[in-house]
Amino acid sequence: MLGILRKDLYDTFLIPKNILSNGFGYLFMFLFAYLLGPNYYMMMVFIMLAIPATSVMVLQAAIEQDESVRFDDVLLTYPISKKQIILTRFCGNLIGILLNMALSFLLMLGYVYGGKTTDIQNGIFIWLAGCVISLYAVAVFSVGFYLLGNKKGTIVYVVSILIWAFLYVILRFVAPWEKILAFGRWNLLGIAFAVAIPLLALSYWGCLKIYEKKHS
Amino acid sequence: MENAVQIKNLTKEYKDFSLKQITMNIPKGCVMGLIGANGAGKSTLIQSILGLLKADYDEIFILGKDLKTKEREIKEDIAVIFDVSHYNLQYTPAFIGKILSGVYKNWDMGLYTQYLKRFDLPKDKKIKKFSKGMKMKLEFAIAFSHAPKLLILDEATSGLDPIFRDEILELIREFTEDEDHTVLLSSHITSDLDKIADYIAFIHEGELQFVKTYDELRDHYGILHCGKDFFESMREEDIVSFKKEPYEYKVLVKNKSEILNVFPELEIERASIEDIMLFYVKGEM
Repeated sequence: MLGILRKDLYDTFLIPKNILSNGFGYLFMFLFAYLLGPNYYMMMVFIMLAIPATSVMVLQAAIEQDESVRFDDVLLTYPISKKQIILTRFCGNLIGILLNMALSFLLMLGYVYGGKTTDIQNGIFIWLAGCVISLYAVAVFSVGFYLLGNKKGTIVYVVSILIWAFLYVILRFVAPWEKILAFGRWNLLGIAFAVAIPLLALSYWGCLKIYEKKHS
Repeated sequence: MENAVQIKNLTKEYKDFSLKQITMNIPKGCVMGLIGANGAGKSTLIQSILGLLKADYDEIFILGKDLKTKEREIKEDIAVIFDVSHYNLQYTPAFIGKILSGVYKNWDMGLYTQYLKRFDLPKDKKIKKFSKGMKMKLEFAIAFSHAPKLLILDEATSGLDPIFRDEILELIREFTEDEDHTVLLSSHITSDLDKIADYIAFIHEGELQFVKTYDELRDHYGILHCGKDFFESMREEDIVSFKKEPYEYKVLVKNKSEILNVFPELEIERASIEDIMLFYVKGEM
């Protein structure tokens, strides 16, 4: 498992194309955050939408690279079960989430102490909400990528993000996030986290079944 | 004789193709050549016995272990080499070594480094800069570095020039010097098998036609050139397959010594593996 995890992380962070896209992505996000100044709405967009949307980057990069050389052909000759292969990919995504959490934590601190956008308690809440949303993103998009492969999976992923962003903007006017979150928001976050765990387990099972079907 | 691989009634069904009731054994310590035309089912058979494809079978034992229950243990002792490398071209041999040290329990990094040196493969150069031959040598370095007992090559020599192919065959020969080591070599370059195979398994349209020792094929099979009258007088059991040419009949026989004892004046030429394959595929029965 360790070998495959090492490979997936290399594919995500050390392949030149991915170094550039990830590096520029994060750079632009921090630059935009700086240029737009202390804006509570944009803070939530970055921490609760933009960063969680990239949570599945390890799986996406691994599938993209594997498809290009049909790595699965040799992977399946290794002494690793299909269950372990899927579990390794989930672990890779969780490492991606940890990295994102660290970056969004820095961003949150920048908003709280640099831009004085909100207080630290609220900042931490938004940051944690982003982390929980990341778990949902991994659960949903993993199934999409296993089901559709890299190309179609990426298209569906981008469309989903756009829909997500659209709903976010609509909610801004219909039922502002701030009001929703103000209503027992810590309880809501706890429930959301509790639901994310079985959803991840369900997603793992679904991905495994899809992978087994593809290689049968 | 102990078998490295035992297959009983293996069947794999596709919509337009099926592998039918394959039963065969691969004795330990031998090189088994698996021949057949493209699409005959060679790769399907290999993928099925590796558990890469879900096939139906009564039993598959590899290195004495049941594939159904010991797949992971079996794969520790197997190395598989395909016709192309499946590693990302951005990787270096050194990085592949790091990946595989986390995959195989018995991965030997020292041995891997020795093989890289022996094959003149720069360990920190990206494999996108390697030639096809270098990539194939890298596959062998990878394969030999976790002490496999069964080496499976799926068309691994195709696309290589004769000199490289010869080097590869030498490596296989070296590997089989250890009597615990077994090789299953699928190839449609039958001249390679003429040089190295102890056994030949021939598969055609998903059906296993025969498994025979190379010596048996060499000593007993032959191509008889004769006229129509002689052909019509031949016993059916002597004829494996025949081709009707404009001025003669070419007949693949499986008991050339017996025929020559009775008809010493006949011309029976030695049948190569390619000839035998062509007669089975294109000849008339």
